[in-house]
Amino acid sequence: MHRTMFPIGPQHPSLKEPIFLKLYVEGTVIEKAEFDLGYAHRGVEEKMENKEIDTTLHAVQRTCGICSQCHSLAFLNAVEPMGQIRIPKRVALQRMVIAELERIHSHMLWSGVMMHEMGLETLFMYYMREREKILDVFDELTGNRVHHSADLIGTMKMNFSEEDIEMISKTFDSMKDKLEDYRRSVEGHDVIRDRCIGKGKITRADAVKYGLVGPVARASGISYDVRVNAPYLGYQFVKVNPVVRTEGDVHARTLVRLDETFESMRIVEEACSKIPKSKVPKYPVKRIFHGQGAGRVEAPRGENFHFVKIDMAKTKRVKIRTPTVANLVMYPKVLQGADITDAPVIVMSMDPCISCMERVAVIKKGKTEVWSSHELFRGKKHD
Amino acid sequence: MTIKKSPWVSFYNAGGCNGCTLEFLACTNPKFDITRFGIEVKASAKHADVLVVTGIVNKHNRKRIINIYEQMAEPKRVVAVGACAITGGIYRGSQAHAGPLDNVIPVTVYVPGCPPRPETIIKAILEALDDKNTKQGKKD
Repeated sequence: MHRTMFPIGPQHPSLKEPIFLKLYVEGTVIEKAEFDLGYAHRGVEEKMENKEIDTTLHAVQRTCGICSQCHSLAFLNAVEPMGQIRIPKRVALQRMVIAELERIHSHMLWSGVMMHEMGLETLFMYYMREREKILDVFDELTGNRVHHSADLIGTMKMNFSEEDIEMISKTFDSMKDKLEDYRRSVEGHDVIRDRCIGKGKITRADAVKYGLVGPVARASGISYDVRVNAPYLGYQFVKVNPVVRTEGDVHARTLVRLDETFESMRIVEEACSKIPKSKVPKYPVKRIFHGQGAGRVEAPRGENFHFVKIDMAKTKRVKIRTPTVANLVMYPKVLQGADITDAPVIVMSMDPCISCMERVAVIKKGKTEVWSSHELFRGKKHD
Repeated sequence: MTIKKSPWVSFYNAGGCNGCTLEFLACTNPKFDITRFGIEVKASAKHADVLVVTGIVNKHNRKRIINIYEQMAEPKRVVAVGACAITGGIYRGSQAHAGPLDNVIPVTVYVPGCPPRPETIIKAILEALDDKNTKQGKKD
């Protein structure tokens, strides 16, 4: 018997997204953790069935607000080979610049929210202030702050001009010193060290067993990065040095993300310097009628996978597997035995993005637990 | 009843894509800084005057929204942020969609956009205080 069930969510200040965490505690130690999903289910994949490919691309970009470009890239990586569309170097590099800028803004958002979880409001505000500069860059480049909608099939909507590239490097110059300063304070801050070191530890063996991806896996010593292992787009032209740490705790995950921010900045600058003078091809490049394929990219949170089937120039099926799905299975295990005061920090350190994940059904093995359809809809079995 | 100034805001993401959530979060950052208007983001809906809802209302969280709305003390206002909250946006009519937000709870101000800019969200929160924008205000 569990003494107390401690509910977190679905509306909770530390969770910006709707997920219902049930922590069964004995004293202050978590004995068992469960989560209840479905609050952000929108029927994304259903809405993409039987649609024109361009319409689907629009919907794909709106799967997630944080990593909009990564979803569109994964989709295009699946679709473009079907029509034997070759991507010019300029398009590849431009797409990559936006994807890497997105990684920077995602990691900075995460760093800010993580500091907020630990009660360090000043650092939260600092990170949010710097992140705003990246959003301004997006605004200048694509016209949108959040959903960039920069891609078209085989091409892009804009050519980056000399001024655009200059603006990016100016923005980075104004940010770099500050970010390095914040990183130093994160690494050496006593409060942060106390709250992070040794908490939520994931061993390398566990990370392999549960199939973790992204910065969470890289913090546990697995050097796996789609950008390095299966280079797509402009990553053939620009080398990526994956950031790997071996500690596997919350602190390691924090530092991996902070270091990746600097790495992404370097990639963006290198990519910008390699953009050729030619213009992007005119739209439409080529129509695609039949085929099926898969595409994968490294999203800020890890590997993002799309399966697409096209028939009669319409998408019949799009299957999306986001990195949060892969990392979610680790939550109950990593929360078990932790102190309840560490729970927000541990949950946040995995960087959950519930909104793009909500297409899963969790089927329990072992202990039989039958839910009626009514309970499934209500999510009622809360003990 | 009127709210004169300095509304406290509670926030619920009813299953959006995070876009509107990010833009609402951006309102609190030093660039947009909603505390200039005395607005403060509160964790519990019980403390809040204005409820900001983003994302589509799906079958799973419909009851939650009503629950949160009922917890709020009078006078209360609701701001529906983004195309998804207003009509369902691109997810309108999908298997999970349970209708627009104003079918579930009374909405004071609608903020269109996918996603709307932070300035618009701040303006909407301030406009929600005006009695003319509530249903009772319109009758008078």
